[in-house]
Amino acid sequence: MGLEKIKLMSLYTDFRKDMSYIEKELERSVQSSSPIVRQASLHLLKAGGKRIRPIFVIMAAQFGTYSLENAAKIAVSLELIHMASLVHDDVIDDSDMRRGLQTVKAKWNNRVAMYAGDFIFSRALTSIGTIEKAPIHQILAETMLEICKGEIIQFDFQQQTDQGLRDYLKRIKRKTALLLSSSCELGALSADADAQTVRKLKRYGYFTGMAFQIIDDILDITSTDAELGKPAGSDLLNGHITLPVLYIKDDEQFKPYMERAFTGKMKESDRQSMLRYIRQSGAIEKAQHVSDLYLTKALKELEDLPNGKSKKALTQIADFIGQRKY
Amino acid sequence: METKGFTDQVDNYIHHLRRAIYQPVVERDAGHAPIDRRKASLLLLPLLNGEQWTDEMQTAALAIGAIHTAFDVHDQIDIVDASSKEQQLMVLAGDHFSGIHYKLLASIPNFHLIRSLSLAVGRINECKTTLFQAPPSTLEDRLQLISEVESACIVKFFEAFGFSHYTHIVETVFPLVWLLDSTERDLNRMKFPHLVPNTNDTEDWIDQLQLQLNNRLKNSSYLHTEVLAELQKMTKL
Repeated sequence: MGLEKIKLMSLYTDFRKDMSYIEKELERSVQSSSPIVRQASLHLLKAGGKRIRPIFVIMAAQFGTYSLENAAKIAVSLELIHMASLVHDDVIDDSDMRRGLQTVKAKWNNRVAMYAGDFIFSRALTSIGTIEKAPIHQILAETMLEICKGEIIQFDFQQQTDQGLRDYLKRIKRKTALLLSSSCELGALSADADAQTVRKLKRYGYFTGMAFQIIDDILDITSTDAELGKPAGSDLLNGHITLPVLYIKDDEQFKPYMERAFTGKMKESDRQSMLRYIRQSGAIEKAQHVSDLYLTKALKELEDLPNGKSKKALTQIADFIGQRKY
Repeated sequence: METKGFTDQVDNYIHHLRRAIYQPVVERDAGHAPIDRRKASLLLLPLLNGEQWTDEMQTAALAIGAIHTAFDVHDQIDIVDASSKEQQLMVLAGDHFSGIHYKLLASIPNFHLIRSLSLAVGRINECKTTLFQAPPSTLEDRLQLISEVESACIVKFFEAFGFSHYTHIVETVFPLVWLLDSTERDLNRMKFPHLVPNTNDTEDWIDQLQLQLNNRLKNSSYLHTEVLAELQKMTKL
């Protein structure tokens, strides 16, 4: 486990028992009569992850009448939806590595990855299906569709250089912020928290999610291949313009790099040189500033919520997101 | 819902399904999603046979159509190379259709169907993986899995709305039409082309399944003549 992940896990200390229960439920939920489906699903699950969606559900649920059983059903569902989308994303991006391990599509093939992703998604609905509250399902369904719409828009925007900050923010809202926002909202709703608390937690999740994705996009450029478990600069190589690149895309010296990245004509030395160029351009600092603004907004949402271990942990997570290294 | 002819009712359903799953970028770059008319007809069997059809059933049927379309799109992803824009978009389109299925069920809301369908969808993907990666050795077992893949969601729909007496029909029709297709269609345009048996086995199994279906239809006195005729046409009885 990386140092950063240990740091994050230390913020979960007060919720260790609950998270351990969720981890077991995650493993239980992807059990399958098909050995290949089981192996493919467990493969990604065992590779770990920050489990930020489940922890948001658990923490948000503490602001109402907490039931681990109910919160866990939602937490498992959201994490599985996230996992299913990663399995399919790797097919789209033709990625061979994720979290330092072979992707499902690389270990088996594209078709197994499609079926495993669809299987994991079905298990997400099995988990949440036992909660008979219409708004919970309607919010989750809407969130899933918006995430998908975001991916389709991202696909449509691939390699398009005439996009602005607004386009980028809309894209990362759908890609990351919505699911984190829904994690908080659904966690609070599962515990019947009052409407204002639900709204504040939902907004906290949204702002944190925006910052989280911006930092992710920064790390894609500032981290090493080993830290990322995939080649640094993958976003650009896959035709995605992220915030740091948005700040530098009109730079005349940078344009040839971008062209080569988009046309697949980038050599290894060229990739390293491109990464150095972005790192030294000031674009990283500008992107970091935008992330900080979102985190400030996230923390503001927490101000009026009752003090306690949950509020403390949510505050620490926001701080962690702003400072994480990979 | 007023009684219409068989074709009109299926057309009407497909029209509504297209509207429900519409996504502008997918439509523009990948064209119309493939909607399996035969599968739609079997899903609508109770409606076509004059059973009472409520708005809830119509919404649930559209949800099933959406998930079927998601499966069909994902089945077209190339095993090795999905790097073309069209293939990439098909992955996303399938996920979108899958999301529409959940949204429709959540809008009713029918929690029982959300649960039972999720289990069926899980099972279908297990069966598809088995058929694709490690198919059973006997044709009988293969046909059983193909039947599950094609009929599981429809069966859950029938169970949820008291139409279980139609289940035995669809469970027999699907493997039969798969075998019939293998004798007529370009194999590359079929599902599971690698499982198509040799001609003798195919003919034997077609005879056997036709006999089985014929007996089942004879015992289904509730089927209207027009529906019976359509089923016979579909299965070359």
